[in-house]
Amino acid sequence: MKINIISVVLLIIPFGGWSQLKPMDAAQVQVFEQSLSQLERVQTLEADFVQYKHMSFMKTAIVSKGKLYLKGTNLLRWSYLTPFVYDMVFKDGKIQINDEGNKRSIDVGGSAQFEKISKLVSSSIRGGKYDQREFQVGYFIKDGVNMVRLTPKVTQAKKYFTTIDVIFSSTDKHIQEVVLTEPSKDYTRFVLSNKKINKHIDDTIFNL
Amino acid sequence: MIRFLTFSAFVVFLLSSCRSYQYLDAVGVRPENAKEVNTFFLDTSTALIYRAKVEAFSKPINGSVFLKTVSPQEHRVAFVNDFGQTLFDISIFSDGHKSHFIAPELAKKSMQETLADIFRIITERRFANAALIFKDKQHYPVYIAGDSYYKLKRNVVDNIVTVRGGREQLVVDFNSPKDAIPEQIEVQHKKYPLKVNLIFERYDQSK
Repeated sequence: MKINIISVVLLIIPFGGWSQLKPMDAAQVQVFEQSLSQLERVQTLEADFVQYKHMSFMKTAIVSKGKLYLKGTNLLRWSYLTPFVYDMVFKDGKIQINDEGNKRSIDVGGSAQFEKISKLVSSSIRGGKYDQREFQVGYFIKDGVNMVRLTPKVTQAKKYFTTIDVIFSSTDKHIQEVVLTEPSKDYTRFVLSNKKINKHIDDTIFNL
Repeated sequence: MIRFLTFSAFVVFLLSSCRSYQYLDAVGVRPENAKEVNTFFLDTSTALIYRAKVEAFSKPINGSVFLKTVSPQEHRVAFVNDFGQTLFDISIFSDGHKSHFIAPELAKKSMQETLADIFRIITERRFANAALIFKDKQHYPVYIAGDSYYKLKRNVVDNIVTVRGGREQLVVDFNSPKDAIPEQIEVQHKKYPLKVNLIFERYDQSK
């Protein structure tokens, strides 16, 4: 029997690692939204994150790692630890930055992408509702876990992102991953791990 | 009086527009036979990743620069800030550039051209047809390719000065202790308050 390459590929495809993306039906959306509403009890979050930047013409992603701290609705700290040390605190409408000892403060919005992801992480952690004026919101099951796909409606945001995927953990139901896809199809993944929810975080963490 | 001032202004304009660039300590020029002066970015088998610190109009931006040699005449360069946001992704040719993505805040034509100029001078393979002569420096190789001066050290480029209208436009310093690729690249724009500092991080190796 002759087995050609095409037959082998066709045989392998159903078992391959390709992501399965399926829209939720109405009942699934309702269950998912109920699980989100329970997240409103989250007061603090401490987690590790890994940021992967994928460029179409590069073989490997740029990987950065760090820690995330969230307290209440107004305090958020992103600390990059490797391969560089860089701290950002979102507080009182400003972003305070500590870049290897050089401290400065900029208005929120100085980085469109970071402002977006920070708001999304903050609100997703608490099961926040997504702004339907700003995004078209789609609910999906991806590889067995819940995913919200936000497609920007506003022209300015469209220049930066085509979609923002927020993926939730199948175990603790909290946000697990955010994927921002740019108009060029290049994308950035932020993956959270070691989540500690409602553990005490001292206010001094948010002073740089 | 008005006639005198008008004449003086005309003379000043004429002198400044006719001024030619004088490389420090050079006393003459000699012909050279197509000397290859920038050989750093010829390898198409891998891409390079640099840690980038940019100071543009007093605004610091940190991130990574991805640099891929598509062919000796084409280089693809992308700058991604520390938050993972692509600021620009362009292909650079010797006579132009093509934008794959450019953040709205950098979309001005003059800004794109400035960025392309900076990374063209860093990456472009050039051949010099002239070299400078120095009175007191016997082994001080500085070659001229078009509007740029290439100072070599151990036969690889160490410094480039580009000149427009008789003035320095870009000054690029390479630090390449192993001579294979630059470990550090510093660019200073002489017209705008713009500095770029690149430190080699790793090769893009591989799946």
